[in-house]
Amino acid sequence: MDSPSAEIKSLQGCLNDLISVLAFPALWSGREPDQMVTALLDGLVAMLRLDFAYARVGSLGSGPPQDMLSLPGGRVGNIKAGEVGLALGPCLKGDLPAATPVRIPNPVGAGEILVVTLSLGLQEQIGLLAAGSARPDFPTTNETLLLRVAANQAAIWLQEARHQSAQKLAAEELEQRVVERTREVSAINEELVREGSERERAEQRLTAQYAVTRILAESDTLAQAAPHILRAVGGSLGLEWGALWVVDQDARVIRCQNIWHAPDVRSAEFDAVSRRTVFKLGEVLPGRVWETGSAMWFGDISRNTIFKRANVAAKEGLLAAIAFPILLGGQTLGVIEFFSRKPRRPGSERLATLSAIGSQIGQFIERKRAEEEQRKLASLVENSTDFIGIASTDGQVLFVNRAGRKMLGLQGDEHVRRTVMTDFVADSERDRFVNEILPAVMRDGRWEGEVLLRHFNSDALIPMLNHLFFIRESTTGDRLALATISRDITHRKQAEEKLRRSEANLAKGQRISHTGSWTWNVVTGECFWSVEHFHIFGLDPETFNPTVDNTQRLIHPEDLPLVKQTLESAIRDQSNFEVEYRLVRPDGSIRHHCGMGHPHSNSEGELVFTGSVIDITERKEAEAQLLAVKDELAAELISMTRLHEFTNTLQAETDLHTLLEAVLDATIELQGADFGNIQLFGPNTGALEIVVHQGFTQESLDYFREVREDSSASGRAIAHGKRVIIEDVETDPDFARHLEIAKASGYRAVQSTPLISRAGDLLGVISTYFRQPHRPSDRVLRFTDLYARQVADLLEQKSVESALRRSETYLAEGQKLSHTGSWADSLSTGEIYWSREHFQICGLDPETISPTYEMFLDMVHPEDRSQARETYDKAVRERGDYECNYRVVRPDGTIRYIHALGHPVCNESGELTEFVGTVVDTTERRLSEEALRHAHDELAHATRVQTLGEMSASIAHEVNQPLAAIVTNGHACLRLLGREHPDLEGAREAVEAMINDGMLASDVIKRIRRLLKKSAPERSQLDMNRVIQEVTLLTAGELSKNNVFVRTELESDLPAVMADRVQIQQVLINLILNGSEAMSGLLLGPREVLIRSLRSAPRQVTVSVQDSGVGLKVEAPERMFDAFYTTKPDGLGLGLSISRTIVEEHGGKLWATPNKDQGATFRFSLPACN
Amino acid sequence: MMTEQEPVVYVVDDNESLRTAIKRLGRAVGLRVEPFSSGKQFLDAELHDGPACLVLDVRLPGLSGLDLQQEMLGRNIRIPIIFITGHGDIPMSVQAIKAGAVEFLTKPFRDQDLLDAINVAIEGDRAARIQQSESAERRRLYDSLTPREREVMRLVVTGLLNKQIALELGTSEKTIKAHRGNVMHKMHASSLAALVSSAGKLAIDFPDLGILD
Repeated sequence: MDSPSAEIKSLQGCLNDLISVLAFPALWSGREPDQMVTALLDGLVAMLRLDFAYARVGSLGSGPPQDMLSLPGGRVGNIKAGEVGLALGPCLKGDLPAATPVRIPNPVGAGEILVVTLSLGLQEQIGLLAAGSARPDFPTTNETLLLRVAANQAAIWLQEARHQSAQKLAAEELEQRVVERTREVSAINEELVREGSERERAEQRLTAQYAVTRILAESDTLAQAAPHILRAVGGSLGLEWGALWVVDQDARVIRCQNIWHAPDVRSAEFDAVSRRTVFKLGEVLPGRVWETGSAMWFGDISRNTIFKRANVAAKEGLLAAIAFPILLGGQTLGVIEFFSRKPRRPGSERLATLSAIGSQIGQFIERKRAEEEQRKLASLVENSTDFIGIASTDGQVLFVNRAGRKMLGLQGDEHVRRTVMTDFVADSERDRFVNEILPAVMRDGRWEGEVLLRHFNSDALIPMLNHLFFIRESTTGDRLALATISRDITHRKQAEEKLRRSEANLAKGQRISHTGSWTWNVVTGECFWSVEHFHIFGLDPETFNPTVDNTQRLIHPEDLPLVKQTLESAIRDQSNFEVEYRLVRPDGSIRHHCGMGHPHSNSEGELVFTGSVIDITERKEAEAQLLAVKDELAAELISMTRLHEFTNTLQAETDLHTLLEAVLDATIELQGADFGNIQLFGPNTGALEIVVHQGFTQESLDYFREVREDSSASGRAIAHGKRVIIEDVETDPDFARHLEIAKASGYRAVQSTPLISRAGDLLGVISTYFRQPHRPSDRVLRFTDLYARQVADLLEQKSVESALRRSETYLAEGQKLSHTGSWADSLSTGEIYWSREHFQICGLDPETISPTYEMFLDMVHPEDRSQARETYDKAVRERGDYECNYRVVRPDGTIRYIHALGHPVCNESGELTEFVGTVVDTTERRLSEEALRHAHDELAHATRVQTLGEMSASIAHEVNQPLAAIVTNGHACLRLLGREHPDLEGAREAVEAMINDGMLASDVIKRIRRLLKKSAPERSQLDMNRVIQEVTLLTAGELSKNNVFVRTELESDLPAVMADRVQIQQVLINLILNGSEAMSGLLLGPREVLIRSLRSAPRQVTVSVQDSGVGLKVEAPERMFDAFYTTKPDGLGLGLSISRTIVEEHGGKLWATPNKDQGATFRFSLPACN
Repeated sequence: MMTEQEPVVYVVDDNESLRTAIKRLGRAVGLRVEPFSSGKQFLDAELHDGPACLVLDVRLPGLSGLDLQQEMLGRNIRIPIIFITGHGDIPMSVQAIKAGAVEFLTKPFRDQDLLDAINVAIEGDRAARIQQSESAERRRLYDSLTPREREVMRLVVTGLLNKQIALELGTSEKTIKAHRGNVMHKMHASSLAALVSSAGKLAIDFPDLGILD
């Protein structure tokens, strides 16, 4: 009563526990491996009431193996897992079968404890699990089962975790790479931006300077120039608000004279405050600049309390301020002040530039002042009541003041300018004037005296006046006579001088910034180019005439329409223009230019464009490079994403073929290839075989089905273990022999990347093909390597999996069936090694016996000994493989059949050092073969018995025949003897006949008995003709029942065959009876079975049995040899099947052919004896 | 008169040993035995004119025993047949007997059984042969009659008086008396009863003669 219910309970418990163990993975999902193991151990301790559970788990990442321990009730105390591991030491590395309990001192308590260890994974490659319990019955069957299942689960999940962690590492690595790469690229980007902005600033500075120069050149007054200057400087330097402050020397203050602001700045209040405010010397920004005469800046005025206008400025968002003086000869004439919204610290170049601009403006102011002085003076002269005139040294009258004009009746300035000095002098005075006065003035610089002048409208003489002629010298010492220098000339000269000076600076800047400047008079077509302009155009200033046509001829034809259009519209609208174009230099190189132009009118009112040309080729290239880097980065990111997806796919998919297809697709997409394939390396075949492919013709597939040489790309890749790229197959000499197939397939370029396992083994090749000559980029190749790495891992994983499966199967099978031992024979030392199994096969104890060759030979069955020795000696002599079948006699007398294999091992110098091999105990196989043969014999016998049973009536007849003769003879004998004169002669004859018939009857019975006898087949040399005759006798009766008779045509002197008589007779009987059956339904014609024997080949005897019956069933000529195939209602269908088996066992053949006219012929052939 | 001839036993069996044994047995009892190995051989042989019987094996190569029996009937060879067989079965023996076999013996058989069967057969044959020769004599005698005599004989055996016959035939009683005397003489008939008997046998043996019509 108790026991079954307890068992049921225990089974229920076990089932529950099993479910729990199987549920572990659900708990483990997403956990760290050590957490999984701990959970498992805790679970096992609780479920199995263990005293402890311990696990050693191999490294999951990079660390050493981990020891983990779980004790009942979560108790760990001060017991360290590692110590338990040490205590378990002996159990952990023993060769004991898994789950065999071992008794050791309890490492977590007192007394002894039973410990069971299980490996996690095959051969403990994942780790070990140990469970300990003090219970004496530990582990029960259920517990062992649970432990095994748990270990299995843990192994699977840890393997998975390991795999995931590897994946994670790879992913992190990838991510890290992406981050680094991104950082790199962004640094490059920044650098480029920085360079770009520096260049830009230089350009801005130059533009500002140039603009100021131009503005000043074209302005009459500072008031007129100021707004332009502020706009030009502020605009080109990216400043938002500017003001010109002018020093009022008299009031000792500085005032705001002009204000400019960027169009998007609303600064009305600030403007107003600025206009209202005056600063004293040294006061705030303008005051300080005035005082120090040097530029100043504030990065953020809001932090500076001295700023009066800071609050208002802040309202407008103007934070940074810079101011520079307008200097002349060390004196500050004014201050230009700029504000900016961006807090910034100006560079030294910028300050220098602004200072230079300040000086420029200072000079302009000075010049303007001088002109003002002149104008004031002229005004005095003009309004003087005296005659004041000016003439040039060559006598041309330049100026006559109003009083003088009135005096002489001159009609205005034009009239004056049409005159020469002598026109003024009265005729009487003219000689003296020319010959005395003028030379004196020229000589002495002055002459004072009276000269009579004449009136222009009348001949009236002007009263003689005292005149002072004096020479006015220019600053350079040129002599002027009452000099008036054409303002234009002066102006031009001075402006030119200044221009030249600024141009020198400009040229310097232009060289640095690749900026050339130009002016183009639209009306006259005159062009002026700066030196740098020529330089930028790659032209010689001496030889090139910079006309518009000449210039436009140099512009890239594609860009010319745009340039022309831009110029036309600029001319039409008199507007600024800016155009980028490509220039073809005389040396053929192409440069990118940016041209800018500003329209203005010259003094003649002609439309003139002034502008600059900047060589932006480097910038363009930098931009392109930047763009390329960005593209590259984007592509890389996409590739990374793809790789990630790809990795996920690989993990999700389990079918290798599908996986490889996915890999190939991804690679082809990555490389933009036209088609591709993956070939795997068969280590056994030594060839690359196409496993998956895309886009190939069948012809090409057939051609490259197995690659063994190293001229193709994949062959080279596998031969050298590295990637091969054939950029153009038509130019690759080594590829020449495949060129035709490459052309047929339609590819020009090939890339083959080898798939290499982590251990360095070549697994295969992934190849991509391109229709055009091509070389994949480094980035693509880098990713291809990553893909290849994935594939190799995948292949390795699959091969490990299949190896695992194989080894599992092998183990299971092996345990059941094969006992394979191994051996090694060190020929040099004579030492012989046998594996444990080898000993077991031989029934020997490995502990007590060390094997020798002699001992081995002694063990071999005496009948096999010499053969075994000769075979081995021959293998050693010829250094060939060794294969031998022999029997060994175990010490207990049992005989085992051995199949031994051996292989020679040579050292580096080719010397045979040792033989290694295996022995397989084939006894069971042999026994089963024996059993099979036996069963077969039994069947044959049974068929025979059945056949004979069917023939019993005929057999009785056969026996009756001689019996009838005997009886009759007996009677005759008696009568002959009983006669009055006994006929002794007749009686003797009768008795002799009786004896013969008796023998005959006995023979028949003997034959039948032999057929019925169940004896092991025994082969002997047989005369086939005799066998036929005997069978004919046996079957004659049966045949005569069907009115069928046997005829024989036997070839004499047949060679003997080595065969079992009974079995061959059985075959014959079968064929004869079949023939008879076939004729049983015939109404007409002969009923005859013809048996022939003949020598069909030198060493072969063929027997044919021919009938004239219904013939063969045409639809199944071979089926009739199948077992249980029959056309007879009560037939077993075994006859022909067994007959064929018998003949084949004798090394012969049995077959059937239809006759020409009627019936069929069955033939069998047997090899003749030597 | 027919002369009595020595009876002959024909043996057709493919088993030579048995043939010899039977011949030997015949020798022991003073029977002439002529062995044949096949039916064809037997048919081809010149048979002796005298009482005989045939010991025939049912199973023979080529022409079987039963086939031979049919063939002999077809050829009007009226030799009594004793069948011997190694494994006689009832249907086969019934068929053989129906076709006129004398005996059906299963091998091995007792010598006396065979010899008895042979004796019966030969006696039967002898009687048959005698009967056959008397009938032939009667026919010969009958054939010697003139047509008028045959007519007279036909009317005499039906019991008509001479006067009635003469009336029937349209002739004189005297003429009829002369014919009647010839008939009696030619037919070796000593009395009217003998002539009637002779005519009856002729009618049986040769129905086509229409003697009793």
